[in-house]
Formats: sequence, C-alpha cells, structure tokens
Amino acid sequence: MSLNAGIPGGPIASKWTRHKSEIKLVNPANKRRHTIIVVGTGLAGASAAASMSELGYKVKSFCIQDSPRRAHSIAAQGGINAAKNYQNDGDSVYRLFYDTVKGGDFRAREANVYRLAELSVNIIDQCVAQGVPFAREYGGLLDNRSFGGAQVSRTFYARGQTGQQLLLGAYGALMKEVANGGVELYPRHEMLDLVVVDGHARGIVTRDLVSGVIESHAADAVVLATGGYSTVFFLSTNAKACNVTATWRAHRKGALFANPCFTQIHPTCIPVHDKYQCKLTLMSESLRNDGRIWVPKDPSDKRPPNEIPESDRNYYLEERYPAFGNLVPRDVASRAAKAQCDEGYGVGPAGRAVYLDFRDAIDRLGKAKIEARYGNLFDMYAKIVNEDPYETPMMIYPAPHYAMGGLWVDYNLMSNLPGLHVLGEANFSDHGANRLGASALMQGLADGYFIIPATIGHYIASERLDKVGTDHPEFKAAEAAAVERTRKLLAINGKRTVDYFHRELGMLMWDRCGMSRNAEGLQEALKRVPEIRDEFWNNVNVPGSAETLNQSLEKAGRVADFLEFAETMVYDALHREESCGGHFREEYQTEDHEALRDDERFCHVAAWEFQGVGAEPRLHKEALSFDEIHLVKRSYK
Amino acid sequence: MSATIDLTLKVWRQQDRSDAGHFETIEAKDISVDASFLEMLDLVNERLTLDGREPIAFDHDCREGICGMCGAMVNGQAHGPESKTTLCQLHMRHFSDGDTVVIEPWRSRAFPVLKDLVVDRSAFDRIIAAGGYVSVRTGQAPEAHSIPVPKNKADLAFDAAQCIGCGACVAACPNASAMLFVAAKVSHLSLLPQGQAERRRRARAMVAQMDREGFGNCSNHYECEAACPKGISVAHIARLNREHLFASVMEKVTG
Amino acid sequence: MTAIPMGTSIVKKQIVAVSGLALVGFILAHLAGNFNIFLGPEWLNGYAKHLEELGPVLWLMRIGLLAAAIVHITFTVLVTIENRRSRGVAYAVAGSRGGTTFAKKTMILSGLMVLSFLFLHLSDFTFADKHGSASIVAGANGGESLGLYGIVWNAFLNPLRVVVYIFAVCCLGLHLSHAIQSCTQSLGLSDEPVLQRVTFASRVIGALAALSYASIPVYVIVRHFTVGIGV
Repeated sequence: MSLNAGIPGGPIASKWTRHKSEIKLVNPANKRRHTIIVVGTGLAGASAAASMSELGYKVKSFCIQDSPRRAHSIAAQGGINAAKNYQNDGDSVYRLFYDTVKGGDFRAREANVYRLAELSVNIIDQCVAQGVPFAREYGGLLDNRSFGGAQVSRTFYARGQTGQQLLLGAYGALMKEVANGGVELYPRHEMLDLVVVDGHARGIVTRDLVSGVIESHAADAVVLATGGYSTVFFLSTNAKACNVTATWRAHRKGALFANPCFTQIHPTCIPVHDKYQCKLTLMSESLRNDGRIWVPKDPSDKRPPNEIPESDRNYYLEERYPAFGNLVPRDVASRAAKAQCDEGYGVGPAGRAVYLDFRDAIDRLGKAKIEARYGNLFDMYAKIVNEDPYETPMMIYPAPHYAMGGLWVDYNLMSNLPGLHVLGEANFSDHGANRLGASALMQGLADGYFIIPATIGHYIASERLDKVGTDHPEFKAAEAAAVERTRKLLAINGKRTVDYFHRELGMLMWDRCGMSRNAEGLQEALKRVPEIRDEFWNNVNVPGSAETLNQSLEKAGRVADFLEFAETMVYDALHREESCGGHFREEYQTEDHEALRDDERFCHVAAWEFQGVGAEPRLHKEALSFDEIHLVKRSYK
Repeated sequence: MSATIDLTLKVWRQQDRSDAGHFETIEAKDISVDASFLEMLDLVNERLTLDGREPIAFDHDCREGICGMCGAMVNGQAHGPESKTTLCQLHMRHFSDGDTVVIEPWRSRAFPVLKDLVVDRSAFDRIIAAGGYVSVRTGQAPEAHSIPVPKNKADLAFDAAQCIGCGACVAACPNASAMLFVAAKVSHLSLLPQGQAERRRRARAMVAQMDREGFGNCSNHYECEAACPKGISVAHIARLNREHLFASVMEKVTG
Repeated sequence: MTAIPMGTSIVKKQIVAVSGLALVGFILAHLAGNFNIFLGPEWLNGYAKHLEELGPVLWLMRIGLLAAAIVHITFTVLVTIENRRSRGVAYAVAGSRGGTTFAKKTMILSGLMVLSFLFLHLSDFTFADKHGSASIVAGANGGESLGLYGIVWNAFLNPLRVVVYIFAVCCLGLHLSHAIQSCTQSLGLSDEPVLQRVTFASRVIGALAALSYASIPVYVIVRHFTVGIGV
C-alpha cells in the first residue's frame, strides 16, 4: 500500500485556494440525495455536521453523550490561535505555520499545517458571527493573549472557558440544522463498528445506549470526529467517556493508524493524590505566564514551601531555558518536571509534584490582578486540593491530555479507506509530535467548518456510489458481530471489574509508554498488554443486561478496544528510535538530556495496518518533506 | 492516605423509564474525604459489581464541572450542599462520618428518568433547536473586528453564556421551570449585536418550546440561581421576560 | 401536555403581574385614604362621602378592581396547577438553597388569607350602613351616628376582630414583600444592578403596608384606653 497524501502542487500559500477551485463539486440538487454520517459532536464533528447540512447533504449525527453539547471539546480552557495580527506584533499566517511545524518537532505535513494557519482567521470571524462571547478590550475589539510560549499574542479566549464557548457555538449551528431538517440527531448512540462495502466506508453499526438496540446506518460517506485516546492511560484529563472505539473499529476494518505513540502530557495538572482517583484535572497552562515553577534544592527538604528561602529553591525551567523560562512548550515542561521528580526532588505526599508559585506575581501585580486572570483556576484548585493557592504554592504534575496520533488521512482528510473521513483530534494530521497550546480548537474547527465541507463533495462527485441498504450482508455481518461481542462480554461473569483492567492497562502504559520510554520497558509492555487482555476476556465481570442502559457494558467495550489499541501504540513507540515532541526515548537524548531527533531515519509518518488481534501491525511510511521550513533542532534555550 | 468516613446512601433505583422505582439503602464505607462525590459513587459501584449487584447508573463525563452531564439531588440539594459546584466537583470532605445521604435524580416531567439517576434532558436540546443560535451559515462571516461590542455587554453576554445545561435550575425550582436555562441563552444572544436580527423570533420560539416540553412557570423563587453551578443571575430571567413581552407586542403590532 | 392554552408561561405570569400591580396601587391608595382616621371623624367621613359621591366612577373603579382580582386569581390558579404538574414525582427530601423565602413559598396561602379577609372587610366597612347602629359609639357624639368613623371605632374595640385584622394585614404585607419584586421581575423591569434594590424596596413596602394598616386598630385601642374618642 502506498500512502499518497494528495498534496496539491504550487506554492504553499496558494495550495488550498487552488485545490478548492480544482476539486469536484456536487450538483446542489443532488446533495440532498447523499447521506453523510458524522460520529462525534465536538468542535470538529458538530461544525462538520452543521456545515455539510447547510450545503444540502443529509447528515446523521451521532454522539455517546445525552446531548451534542457535552463533547469533551467543552473542557478546553485556554484559547484558540489565529493569525489575525490584531496586536500588530508581527504575527502572520506564515509565522503561525512556522511555529506549529516547529512546535510539532517537524513531524507534521507542511501543506496541512499551512492550511490550518490560513483558515485560523476565518474561524474567528465565523465564531464571532455566531455570537461566541470572546474576551474584548474596552474599545469593543477582541482581546488576545500570549499562550503556550508563543512570541506573539495570537490567542483568542473566552475567560477560562474558550472550548465551552466555541463548542456551544458549533452546537448552536448543529441545532439550527436539526431544526431545519438537515441533520438527524442520535444522542446516546455509540458506534460499535464501521461497515465497509466494496472497499468503501458505507455506514456504521451503533448501539442505542438507552434501549440497547444494535442497528445499522447506511450512508455515502462516514466522518469520524471522535476525539483522542488519552484515556488509554486510565488517568488522564480527558472526559471519562473519551475512548478509542470508533477509530479503532475503523482501524480494524482497514484504516491506518498513524503515529499512535505521539501523546501529549500536559504540564499543569493537579497531581494524583489518592488511589481511588479516576480522573485528573487540568489547569490552563496560561498559569505559567505568571507562576514560577520550582523544587527544593535539597531532596530531603521537608519544610513547607513558604518557609523555603529563595536560595534553597531551584527554578529549574528558568535556569535551563533562559529564553523561554517557564513558558517552554508542553512536552519540554512536562519532561523536566518528571526528571526532577525521578531524581527525588518532587514534592507533595507521593513526591510526584513540583511547585507552581504565584508569590512573586502577587507581589508584583497584586492579588486582585492575579484573581482576575486566574480566579476560576485558583478556585478549582482550592476545591480539589483544599489548599489556598494565593497563600501556598500550587502543586502540579503532568498528565495525559491530548493525542497527536490518530487515523491516517490525506490532504482531503480522507483515510486510506475511501469514504472514511477523519477530523479533529481523531486524525493524526496537523500537530506532528507535539501540539502547541490553543491549537486543538483551531484544528477541530478548521477541519469541520472549512475543510470537510469542501473535500466531501470531491469524494462524492468522484465516486460512483451505488445505493447500499442496511440489509446488505456486510451490515448484517457487522451487526451480528457487535451483538455477539456484547453477549460475550456479559457472559464472562468473572471476578474483576472493568475499571480494574482499565487501571491495570493505564498504569502499565503510563510507566512504559508515558512521558519517557525505552526499548526494554516497551518490550515489557508488549508482553504485558496481551496478558491483561487475556485476563480481561476471561475474568471481567460485566453486570446487567444488553437490553437496557448499561454503563458497565459500555465501558467494557471501550476497554476491550483499548486493550488491543495499546499494543499498536507500543509498537509505534518501539519503532520510532528517536526522541521528538511528546515521544521521548531515553536512549536518544543529547548529553544535556534534550530530545535527539533522527531526521535521517524517522522523518516520516508511521501508519500502521491492522493484522489481527495480537499480531504485529504492518508499518507503512509516509515520508515528510520540509520545503518551506528547514529542519532544525528544536531548541528553547 | 487521607481520612475516611462511612456513609449510608439512600439511592433512587429505577430499571427503566416505565419502572416505578424505589429507594435502596447502600452502605458506603471507608470513603476518602478527598474523593469527589462521583469517585465515591465509582467506588460504591465497584463494590456492588463484585457483590453481584448492578451498579448505580449516573451520568457524568468531564468531571471538571464544565460538560454539564452530571447532577443529582443530594439531600434535597441540586448538585449537593456546596454552592456553585457541580456534583463532580463536590468533595466528600463536606460530609461527616455516619451521615445518611439521600440521592435522587432530577425530578421534572420534562426530564423522564431513564435509569437510576440518569434522566433524559433532550428537552433542552429541543429548546435550543427552536432558536438558541444565530442563523449564520459557515463561510459567510464578516471580519470579526467589523462590529465592536462594548466590553460590559460582552462580559454580561458571557455571564449568561456560561450555562452548562446541566438542568440543576429545573431540578431545584419548586415549579420545575426551565426559565433560567432559556433566559441564559436568550440573554446571551440578545446582548450581542450578532443576535439582533432574530431577537424577537428567538425569544418567542424558545419560550413556546419550553412550554411545550412541560416545564413549569417561573414564580420568581430564585432557587435556580442558588442552585446554578455557574451562578447565572436571575436578572437574565428579567431580560427574557422583557424580550418576550417586547417580542409579543411587536408581533401584534407589526405582524 | 401540561400547558394550559392561555398564552405562554411568561404572558400568564405577566398578566398576574399587571393585575397584581393594579391591586397594589389600590392597596396603597386605600391606605392613604385610611390615614384620614388619624385626623378625626370629619376627615374620614368626608373621605367616605367624597368616594360615594363619585357614583358611577366609583363603581367603575370597583368593577375594575374586581376584574383585576378575578384575573389575578384565575391566572395564579392556572399557573399553580401547571407548576404542580411539572414536577411529576415529588422529591423524598426537598431542600432549599436560600433562593426561596417564607414569603415566596406562602404566596398562595397569604393571597387566600387576604381574599377571605376581603369578604369580612367588605361587609364590615365598605357595604356597612354608614349611619346604622354600628356607627353609633356609646357615650360619644351625643349618641348620634359617627358614620364610618364610628363603625371603624366599634369594630376595633372587638379583640377578635383586631386579631383577625392584624393577622390579615400581616398576610398582606408578606404577600406584598414578594409581590412587588416579583411583578417587576415578571415584567422584565429589574436588571442586574436594580434587582437587589427592588427586592429590598419590595420588602420595605410590604412591611410598611402591614405596619400602616395595623396602626389603625392599634390607634383605636390606644386612644380608647387613653384620651378616649374625644367627640
């Protein structure tokens, strides 16, 4: 299989415009004869469903939550980047493109990233027109802030709830189309399988999570916008329902999974404080704009933080990265915190935390100003940890947060399976090995509002799509398999809960395939994952029945998929014998412990083809070429 | 290891929509005071599962207080005893050893119980579908800076826009009214220039849908504001009342 | 379908509010008129006479008031029936987080109290024979009728009536303490900065109305036991 990304020719700045005017269109009268399935209602899914319905397609929109508005995009706090240059600080589409390629450690496609930067400006216009209440200045114009270490202020925000406001905008657009009759909504429906007919994605099999009914939905194209897989680590900042099932099921049907080992560990999360915990809480990294990160110089120093004098504190980020200080990108900040804790400098009950101190900022700016900037985050911290961060330094530790990897897609956001399109966090495309802050929202909306509405037409117009009904044998087979799998899960009746296995897998992945990895640990994970999987299928206890709302059953299906996916993730981490972005292989580091990229051998996308459960997946490589931006060592010193 | 407490839970159990439902008493022992309320339920569910009983069904997702998925009445309080807190952000340190905790689903005719603590809030989606948006098509938006919005208006709109759609307002209202939910969206969009064109239609359509769903009427108890995890002010209800009055009058006048 | 087709829920509440405000206007005007009692029999009787002389206008006002009361009550009943239906299954534990108050929770009750009291009040004073036996105060005015003043005086020397009267005006005050604020809210007249002040003002007006109305029987009793009627 050769991977052709289908990147259009011509200069990078005009590729997208040219491509849009060259790809095929669907006759307006014909659009309503085409049904498109969109799975997921986050920023990418909701915006895609709404925009395609506006164009005239018949859209079926599915989500596992009770309402499309609950999708996990809602939890994004910090903001959304756009190259508007409203601040006149030298920003441009090119600069955003450059920062994103470099931030991704040169493992993203140039053409995709350029398009993303180009569309970023339209996104802001679109969202403002929808009534998204972005922060404004007294003059009534939009406010920006610097975010995630960017040297320009290009981040648009809505207090600490930017994701919420953007999602509610997209959700509004979706509901508008529901009212107009263009979108049929299926909340509390989970996709259990993708149906492929004659090599084309033609529908899905779902379970109605309330009635338990397993049914088929046929379409001319399927769009997956089902988010990332960070909950493979069990403990993550993702919502509890986030899962890999939709993309994994598509992978099993032939879609390639690209760069699964690229996961982002976010540096400013509330540390794990007890074993019952099942969810970690992220605090916006905007905290690093004013907070200073430190650990005691002496590992045995058990004094309360406020009693540790300046001379006994190690502000390790400021020392090591004088140019960026506390604002180094996420992967660098996270790894540095882990290194401090590994060496015994960690603080907190388990020694797995570092201080994030606002004392100096409060002295400099006053408590009121800090409260205005971070009040909601401080409240959240106080609520969870029961300590007042205005008085005592916060404790933070990195936590899994975002998956850069995902299903492989071409320039049109179509996977190698014709008809299967993948958007947002679910695809692998734009962030390379590390995502910059405030870029996820940008990508989700670029994919959904602007890219897929154009490229889906090209697919539909290019293919001769014969009518396929849900009575087709492929649908019947997929339905039967889903019913059988459900039956099997309920019949095991073992001695351990689903969460037990999820936790086991999560701990293993966190230890062996988390913030830093080595061949030995990965080999061990390759041995352990199948063992956990085998035990799961022999000893899990899934109570209740298949015919009612059964949350244990839902979880069991998702964990079962994670138990297959995890292996592929480990294979990918093992194969990538270099350190780049969120993927840090201990064997490949410089003398001063910085990541050592290997552009000779690994300047490619690793796309894996499913070969059966437990079998090593087959690797396909898409070479990455950097024509606009020269490959350089990514340094923030 | 943090301190632990023992609780007696009285939880509403209901198999499905048609089941009459009943309270079940469940002992919850050795609960860490640092656990969240939902983590407490997780632990109880683990134990129920291992005992061969069915775990308690409850909606939850982000566990950061923003998705609006979780929520239950805890000792008669929507989202429990702490103000401006969703159930997932409520911690067990607010309970004492030996407490009895009564956990009930949101009660409203418009929110039928699906199972245990899980209710169907699709009525909220239908209210939004009736007009809770600006009808702008993708791709046609003017430059974002072409219309300045005074900061105070933008801030006020944001206050309203924070609604997470959890349904606590309905649950806490003595009349099971959805006015705060509807008001939050109408208010958010009526305060912004982008929302002006559909302002009248929106207020009328959303209120009409709210009535069709079977929510109660507002009699200004303000329990909604007190229960709202985002602290959305009832002043937005006054704005909705005004918008609706104006829209109805203009409808009669201009047709 | 829960909604009773009489306009949207908001229109219904606004009808309750407008009719309620008309009644509030009456209550305050009536109170102002009643203050004539402190000025002596001539003033109060003069005021009563002046009202009666309005003739058809007075009846028009009465019909208007009656209509307001009927509308107020009818729509309140409608709204209340809908509200009861909206909950469905009741909570086993019903709590409050301090949004509602005693006054808010007892609006129906206090309203009903005022309504029942109204009949007593009408037969006692409004439709009483202003020159009948009830208007003669023993040992005053040479045994001649003291008109409305006399009727009021006699009525408030009856302890039971005083208790009923004071209880009723307390109910009225309680009702008003929420009603005025509630009307402004329902009509959309309150806004973020205004809301707190209107709530406060509403309570003050409620309390003052109750105190003012209650001051009349208190005045009669105190005067009876001190300086006497003095005419």
